[in-house]
Parts: sequence; C-alpha cells; structure tokens
Amino acid sequence: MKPHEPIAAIIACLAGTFLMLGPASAVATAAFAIMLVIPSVLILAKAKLEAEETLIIGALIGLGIIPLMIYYANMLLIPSFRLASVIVVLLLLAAGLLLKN
Amino acid sequence: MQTKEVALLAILFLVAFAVYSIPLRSSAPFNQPLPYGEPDSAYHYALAGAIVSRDHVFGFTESLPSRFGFWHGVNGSTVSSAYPPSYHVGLASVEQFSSETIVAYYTFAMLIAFIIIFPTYLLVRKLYGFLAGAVAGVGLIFANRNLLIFIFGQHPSILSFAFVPAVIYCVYRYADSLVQKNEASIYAYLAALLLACQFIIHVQAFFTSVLFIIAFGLMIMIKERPLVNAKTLVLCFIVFAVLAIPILPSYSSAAGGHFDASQIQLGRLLRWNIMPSEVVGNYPASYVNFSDNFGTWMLPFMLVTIIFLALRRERADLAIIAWIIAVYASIHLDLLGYTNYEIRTTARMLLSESALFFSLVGISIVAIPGIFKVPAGVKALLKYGLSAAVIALIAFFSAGAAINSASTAYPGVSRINPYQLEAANWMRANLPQDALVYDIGTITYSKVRWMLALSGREVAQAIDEITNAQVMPTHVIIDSSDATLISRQDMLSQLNSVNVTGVKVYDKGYIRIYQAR
Repeated sequence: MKPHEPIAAIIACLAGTFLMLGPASAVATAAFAIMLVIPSVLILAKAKLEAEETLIIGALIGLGIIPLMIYYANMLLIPSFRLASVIVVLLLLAAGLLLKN
Repeated sequence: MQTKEVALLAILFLVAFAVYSIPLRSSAPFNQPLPYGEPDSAYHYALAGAIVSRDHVFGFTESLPSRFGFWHGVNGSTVSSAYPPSYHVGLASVEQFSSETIVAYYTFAMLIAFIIIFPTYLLVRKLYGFLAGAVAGVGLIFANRNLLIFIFGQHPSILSFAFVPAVIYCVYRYADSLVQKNEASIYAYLAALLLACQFIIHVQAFFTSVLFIIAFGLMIMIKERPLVNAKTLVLCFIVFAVLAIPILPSYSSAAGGHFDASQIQLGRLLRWNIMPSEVVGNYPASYVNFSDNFGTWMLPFMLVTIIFLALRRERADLAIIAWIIAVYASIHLDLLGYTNYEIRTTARMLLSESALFFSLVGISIVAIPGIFKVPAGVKALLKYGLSAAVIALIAFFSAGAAINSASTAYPGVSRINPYQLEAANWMRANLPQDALVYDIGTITYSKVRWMLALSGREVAQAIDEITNAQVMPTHVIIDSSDATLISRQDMLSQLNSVNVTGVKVYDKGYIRIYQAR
C-alpha cells in the first residue's frame, strides 16, 4: 500500500457523503472520524497490528471508549460538555501522535 | 493492506452510505431532509440534543427532563436514561459541530448502522481470503433486517452487533497464537476491550459474544488443549471489569424480568427461526421471515459451507461453527432460562443472523471449489467466477429488496412534514421550557414523539397522556397539515370544528398553536 492511498480513500468517502447528503453530512462524517475513530486508531497503531486490524478494531474501540472518556471528563473534571469532548479528543490525538511504539 | 483492499473498503463505505441514505434523500414530495423513524429514533435524537443544548451529559441515574417520561409511559414524571451513556455522548460529540442536526443525526446513525460490514469483512478475509471477505461485505450492505432496524431507529442495538465479528476475530487470533505456542496477548486484551465496549453501548449483542467465547473455548480446549496464560486472562478480566462495572447502574431499570415456565415451547429448540405468529403485534412478518431478509438463494451456499466446516474442522472452521452455535443460542435465549427475555425480546437477537449468514455465503467461495479436484489455476478461476456469480445474486435479489425497503420507508405524511418541522422549531424558540402541548391532528404516535423531540417541549396526543401527567396543557396545537396533504376532508372538518379557548400564538402552514392558560 502506498502512503497516499488511504488518504485518497478518505477523501473519496468524504466527497461521497458530500455529494449524497450535502456539506452537513460531510462535516458530520469528518467529525465522526476525528472525534471517535482516528484517536483510537492512532493509539492502536502503536501495537504493530496489521493495517486492517488497526483500522477496524481501533474504530470500534473508539466508538465505545472515547464517549465514555468524554462522559467521565464532563462529570468529574470539566463542566462544559463541548470543552470536555474537545480536550479529551485532543489529548488522545496527542497521545496517538507522540507515544512511542 | 494491499491497494485492492483499500479500494474495496472505500467502495463498501460509499455503496453502503448510498443505500442507507436513501430514506433521508427520498423525502418526496418535499425537497428537504425530514425526520423519520419510530419513537426510539426520536428518543436518541432528543437525548443527544439535550446533552448539546445544556452542554452537559446526564449521569447514569440522573433524572432526564420530564418530557422524556413520555417515552417511558410515566408521563410528567422524571426518569433516568434507558441507555448507558456511550451512544448518546458519541452522537452529541458529532452533532455539536453541525447546524443541520437532522442530517448530522442520520449521518451518525447510518455510519454506526453499516459499520458491521467492516469487522465482518476483517474476520472472513483473514480466515478465508480476500474474495470470501469481499462477498460477505457486499452482502451485508444489503442485509434487509439491519436496514429495517436502522430505519425504525434502534441504533445502539445495531452498533452492539457490529462488535460480534470483531470479538470472534480477536478471540480466534488469541487462541490460534496459544495453540502455536506463541502467545499474542494483545488479541486477548483487544477482545476484552471490545467486549467492554459492547457492554457499555448496548448489552444485547454482548450475550452473543459471550456465548461464542464459551462455545469456541470449549471446542479449542477439547481439540487442541492449549496452555492458557492465567495472567493474561486475569488482566483481561480487570480491563473488562474496570470499564463495565461502573455502567451497571444504567441497566438497573432493565433488570428483574418475569420468567413464566408455562410459556416455554421446547419444540422451538428443534427449529432455528422465530415464526411471524410468535411476534405478531411486535414485528412485521418481513422482519422475521428468512426469505424476506436474505432470500432462499442463499440457503444452498450456506448449507455447502456448513458441511465444509463440519468436515474440515480446522481452527478457523471451529470459530465459525462456534459463531453458528452462539447465534442459535442467542435467538433461543427465552428458552435457555434467561429470565429477562420473552420471545418478543429474543426476536431482537435475530439481528445477529445477518453477519453470520453473509459470512457463510462468503466462505462458500472457498468451500465450493474445494469439492472439485482440479488444478490450482482452475480453482482460482473458479473462485473468481463464483464470487462474481454470488455478487450478481446479491445484486439481483438482496439489493432489490433492501433498496425497496429504503426507498419506501416512511413515505409522504408518515414522516414529519415541513409544516410540522417549522412549527416544532418555532415551539423550541418561543415556548417556555415547561410547556405541555396537547397535539390534535398529527397522524401517528411516532410523529407526535418526533414533534416532542424536535421542539424540546412536552408534546402529547392521547388524552390519557395528558390526564396521567396530572397537569393541564399550557398549549394546544391544531395540526391540519397531515389531513391537508392527504386530502382527508372529514379530518379537516373535524379539526376546523375544534374550539380552543385561548390566545392564538402561531398560525402558519396548516398549523395553529394556542396558549391555553
């Protein structure tokens, strides 16, 4: 797999959602990926699994765990839901990008 | 991952999105996306919207605003959420970035509804090859039952079932590594994490995963006797417990079912399916019938695969056999003594069939050429030919049924119309938070719940809903839009003759709203 191929696939998927349901759907799809999928996929990538495993299992784990982390952050630490969700995702993204394998 | 796999995943995503977005794109005769679905769908929309608008989540046992009581049949009283927080917090996290919440809501719902395609593809592809995985993935796009449940609005439940093939994959990989004396504990931890996620999203499919682990675990222990690493298992249990135990209060309202031994029909253990007559009034026949959901063309392929698995019995085959056992047990939970499950609740477990059945069809791509003693090159050609033939059958039979379900979902006035959407938006902006609106004229119970969800106000229709609330309505909405759109003169005359004592505060597009007190 060449490095540009997954990026091309993501752009094709976003373009498809845009064409089918308009910009609001493309924004929601992008938000879905950024908030709930990419952070856990980046972190799971450190485990040196195969690419499909990282992508698919990481996405499922993100859908379960990241909202729960936002929930606890909002209940226990950060009074604003919006702020809590952004901070949790930024921290996870940073962890995914900065942690060593 | 090879280039062809990246391309396949993107194509699966785009085709699935095209199919699942049909109901939102076909809001004819109105040229705008309009909400549809059963009261559950409106509930998810309302709960995520409430989180975004108050900028705070709801605690496990925290009372929701009183309007949510209408979904629980305790009108005017307070209730806590019927679901653990993950699904609605995830939805709210996405919705907060969109000004068009209806499109964002359905986009999120369709993404989680068809995500099951990908773990199923992963499982079948890794165990039986690319073509088998591709066929299973393509078939699942058109799984009519999954599509129907998505359209009705039981979204957390669908997402829960997406975890089953992923759990199977991780448990299989872990067991495989143990047998080969090269323990890959990462797969055990991933399985524990996936099980915990499944538990904290919706408990339903969690049972299927647990039943699979029991069945597969027993088979592997008997056949291969691998040396299990106790430390890994203890750590897995800790991972699961840390995530799942705090969620238990969310399920407190669902606990304590009624077990009636006289209702048990042991004869059903001898057949796989649930008959339409057993769930009449709860599900349409098209939900339970095999032919309506999969098509009888799949049966020979599934049968060949089952014979192939039973004869070969390699480790991967045992995993699929255990999956078959788990799905069978799941759709017979009411007979296996699980007290909270009646047959109508068990019928929800039929959702676990789709990924299994299309996987069995996918595996037949490997099984059928194995019957013939031909050179390897011919066998490969046979696989490609068979894949093309099966995909053609899916396109011809399953795709037609699924696209028909999607394009005929909630036609015309059976979904919220633009006049109702405008009135609901007006109520959200202009009525007090504690307004109780008596709705006269909106034609279905589901749409009244949608009016409640969209307006963020207590909207009730049946007079007993108001009476049970023990408070008088503050507003009355006379909704002639449905009657006008379907040209029902009798309904229109009735609605025009309703005499409301109060001040008219809204009069637009066949809808009037009065302040009653």
